[in-house]
Amino acid sequence: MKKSFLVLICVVFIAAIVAVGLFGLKYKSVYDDLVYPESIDCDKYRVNSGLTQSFRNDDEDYDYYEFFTLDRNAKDNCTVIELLPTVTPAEAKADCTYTLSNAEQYGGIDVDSETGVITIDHAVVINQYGNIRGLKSFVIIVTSNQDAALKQKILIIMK
Amino acid sequence: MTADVTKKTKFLDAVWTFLKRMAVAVGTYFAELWRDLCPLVGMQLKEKADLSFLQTKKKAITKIVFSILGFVAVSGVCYGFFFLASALKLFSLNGSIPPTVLSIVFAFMFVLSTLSCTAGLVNMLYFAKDNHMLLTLPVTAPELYVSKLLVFYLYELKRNVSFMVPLFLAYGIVTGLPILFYPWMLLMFLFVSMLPVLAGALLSIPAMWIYQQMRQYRWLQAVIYAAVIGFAVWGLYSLILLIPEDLNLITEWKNVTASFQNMLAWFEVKLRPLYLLTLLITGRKSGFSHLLLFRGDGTIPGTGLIFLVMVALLLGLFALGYLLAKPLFFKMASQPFEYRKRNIIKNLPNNVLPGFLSAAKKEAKLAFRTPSEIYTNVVELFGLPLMLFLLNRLYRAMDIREAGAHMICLFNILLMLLFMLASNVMTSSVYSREGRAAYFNKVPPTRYFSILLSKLYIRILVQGLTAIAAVTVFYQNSDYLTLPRAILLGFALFFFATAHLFHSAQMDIMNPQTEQYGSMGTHSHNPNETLSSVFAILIPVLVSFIFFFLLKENSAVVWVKLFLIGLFLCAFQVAGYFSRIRLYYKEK
Repeated sequence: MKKSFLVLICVVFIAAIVAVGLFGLKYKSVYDDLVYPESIDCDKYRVNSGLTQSFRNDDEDYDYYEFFTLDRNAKDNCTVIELLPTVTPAEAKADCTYTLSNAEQYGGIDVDSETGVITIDHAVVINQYGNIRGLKSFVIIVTSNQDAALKQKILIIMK
Repeated sequence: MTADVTKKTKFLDAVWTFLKRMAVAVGTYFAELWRDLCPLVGMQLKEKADLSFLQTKKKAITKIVFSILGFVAVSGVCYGFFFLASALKLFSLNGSIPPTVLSIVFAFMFVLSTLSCTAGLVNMLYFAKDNHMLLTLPVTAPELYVSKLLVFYLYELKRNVSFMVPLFLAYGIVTGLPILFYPWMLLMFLFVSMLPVLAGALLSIPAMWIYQQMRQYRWLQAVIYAAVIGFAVWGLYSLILLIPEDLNLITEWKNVTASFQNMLAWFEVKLRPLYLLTLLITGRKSGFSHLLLFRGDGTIPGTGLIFLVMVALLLGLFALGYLLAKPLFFKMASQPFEYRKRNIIKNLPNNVLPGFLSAAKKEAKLAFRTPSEIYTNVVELFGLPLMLFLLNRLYRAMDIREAGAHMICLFNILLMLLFMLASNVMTSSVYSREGRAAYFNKVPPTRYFSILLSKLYIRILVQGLTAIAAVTVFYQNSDYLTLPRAILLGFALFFFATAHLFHSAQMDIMNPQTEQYGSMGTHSHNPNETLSSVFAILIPVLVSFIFFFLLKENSAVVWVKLFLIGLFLCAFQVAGYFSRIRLYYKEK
């Protein structure tokens, strides 16, 4: 093989890495590092008087979630979706229940008012700006509070 | 007292006269040596190097301009690398570039240079055909030996000026070294360039013995080649495996920089001589200033001591080479070749085979005995899968979205086709390279296509194996490729490569260059090779980009389309090849 071809192949190789690195990476959103938890320990995530529990885990083995709130329309007492930080697979259980009040339908969301479990099929991944991105299906467990000023917590589990 | 003064004056006069005579004698000796060496070195350089650019002023200016541009380009790339490394604080916490970085590159180049000089000197000192002619000239054997070393020294100097000097220059600019560093660096490289040449001269003795053994025992040659290739492949594979699956440079940056710094510290300890050599060239930091000439401090010797040790090493290597290699060189060069004992050739029984198989057997033997063919086939068979393994391993470490997955397919196909088709370019002179013996292809009492096709089947086999290996590597390291897609892709690649192969062979049949190869032995501007090279670039680019755009439309069907296009193109070229043979080999 000629030397010029070897040089060309090296150049294309480097260009291949650079091109994919610049134009092929995923857009970074808070949901990119989500891990599907096998179960949720619901007691950990119960809200008392607006106090939130932070589960930031410094163990390097776990993925981190970014903690944020989305206040869609506070005056109408709508559901505020808040992503809990640092849910690890070992800590999550999917079988707990909460009471639910007010849930906004985003299309494809099924709310079980008795169990408080919200299932979203092929619907949304919602980032901190309220934009709907991607296609994921997941189960949401909602805790709610009648007082709109207090935040409602929803744990989003990727399925 | 007057007598004492007179005695003293006479003594001093005698000493002065003696010194003058010594100086004149030494000067005369070196002047004569230089007078004899210059034409010798010039003759050998003219033989080895392409000095045709000196024929006209225009060519000379063009050559000089391109050399300067190349120098500037390499310096620019090195400067960019050091600048980035400094900005990212890759090699140190304060962003400075330690000289150990240069030492690593220097060590790598030194090893390569030594190996290259050893191989070159084995051939030039012991097996070069011109040695017999050179010994008939009115020069002594030591002068001839030194002239050969000088030729290699000049080549080594040229190589250092092309790569190492720009590297050190860029380092000097980024680090802000004093202005005297630049002439000092050039002066030191005059000495440093001698090291691989003199080491190579000494190593040429055992290398020559190994080469003799390999020539005598073919199986040993095969074993050594297989061992070297196997070791190289295993080494590269192990290195590539070190790349983590989930590489997050931003979060892992601290660990990455810590690893680099640990590696530099290890190198400084384990390869101290090369580190000290680098310090000799670059100088050392002392507090806030940078000293080119520094004193020793207990751990690191001073500039003077390092320089003296280097000069002593050079003289020692030269002396050892002169004592050991020169006599061997003279003995080998002065061996009479006219009545050298020939090996007895065994007469093997003649196995009668059908036309195609007989020709194929001969071509297989030739393929394993021609170094350039072995090199091309080995590089294709092992180089492409390793390159794809590295590429896809790096891709796996990235977090890719769907468009990124499509780009990965694009670049994998582009590289696979580029590699495979580049190896086919030599096929465009497969028949012409036989020169005036090409007419033998018409002599055997069998169909023409049997003989002509036998020259292509080795390449077809190698391509098939390469396609399998490359697609397997891609399939194993990609989440996007399923097994049916991989099979279709493998066949498609094979068909495209085979189509190009037959097209190149067709060009050689239609436009044979046998006269040029017959008279010159080589053809630097073969139009068939040029056209084949153009297609070897055009086809991969077209195929991969068309594939990329079709993939976006329908990711399931595109693989079948690729397979069918490849099959059609291959069938078309094969049919064209056979029709060309019927046309151009028709007996009139």
